[in-house]
Amino acid sequence: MSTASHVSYRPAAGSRDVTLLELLDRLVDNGVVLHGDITLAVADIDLIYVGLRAIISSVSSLEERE
Amino acid sequence: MLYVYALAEPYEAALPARRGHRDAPLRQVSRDGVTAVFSRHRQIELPPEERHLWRHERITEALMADRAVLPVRFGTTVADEAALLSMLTTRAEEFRELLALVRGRVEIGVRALWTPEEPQTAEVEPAGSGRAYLLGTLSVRHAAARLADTLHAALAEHAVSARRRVLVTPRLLLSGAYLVDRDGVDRFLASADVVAAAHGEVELVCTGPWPPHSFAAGTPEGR
Repeated sequence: MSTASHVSYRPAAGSRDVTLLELLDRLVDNGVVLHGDITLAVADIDLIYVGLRAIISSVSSLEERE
Repeated sequence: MLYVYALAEPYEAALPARRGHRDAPLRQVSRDGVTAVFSRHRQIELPPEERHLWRHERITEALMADRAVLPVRFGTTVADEAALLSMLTTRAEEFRELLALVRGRVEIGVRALWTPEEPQTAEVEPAGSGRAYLLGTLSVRHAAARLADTLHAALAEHAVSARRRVLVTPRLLLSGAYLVDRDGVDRFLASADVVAAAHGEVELVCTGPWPPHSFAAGTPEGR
């Protein structure tokens, strides 16, 4: 069996761009929803989708560099 | 106004030595076996900027070091302690069950990236017809859904609980979250490696360990 890893693993503490987008995705789209006010404005929702596109490009560009 | 970071199991030790948003002190209230951790503000409305997101995250991670934690969605505020306590009372059973599920466990995120094939034009249709294109697109989507199912099932086998989203964008085939024992992270990654080796057509990227963001809402499997 090859020793090369097929999975790239980026600990939450490293790889700033990728983990920031992962973080954004988790914090704004998951977690306990209390019946309080969520302060995210509509304009910010677009940001999230931009983020999801960006993670794809940043992940692939990281792969190319490795 | 209270900004809420996380729900946790009641714990005797003090709160972590961290400040909340705008350097406000962290506070806690407990009711019916659930503790809410928050900071108090006259008014607070935070855009999802890096420093705010990380502050929310780091507080959650610090709490998680010694107690079971359910992260609360970023940007959640409640009017006052009475409102917070009444929510805890109403949903205590749900929260206690979720806390029991995540105790001693962490979330690993897995994204499977692929390059979708160009839709094949169905042979019985005249090439270039709209119907042929749509049928082709549909078959690509079906193939994607099958592949995402296979990957997710293989990964979920090594997790206590799992969540997924399929084709969030055309290249993002699977966005999965897997709840694993804290000391089982390496084992899970080794399993993900085996799955990746068996599926050369996709690229898997794992992140974590995260607090159990994706398991804090009690959403059913495969939301």
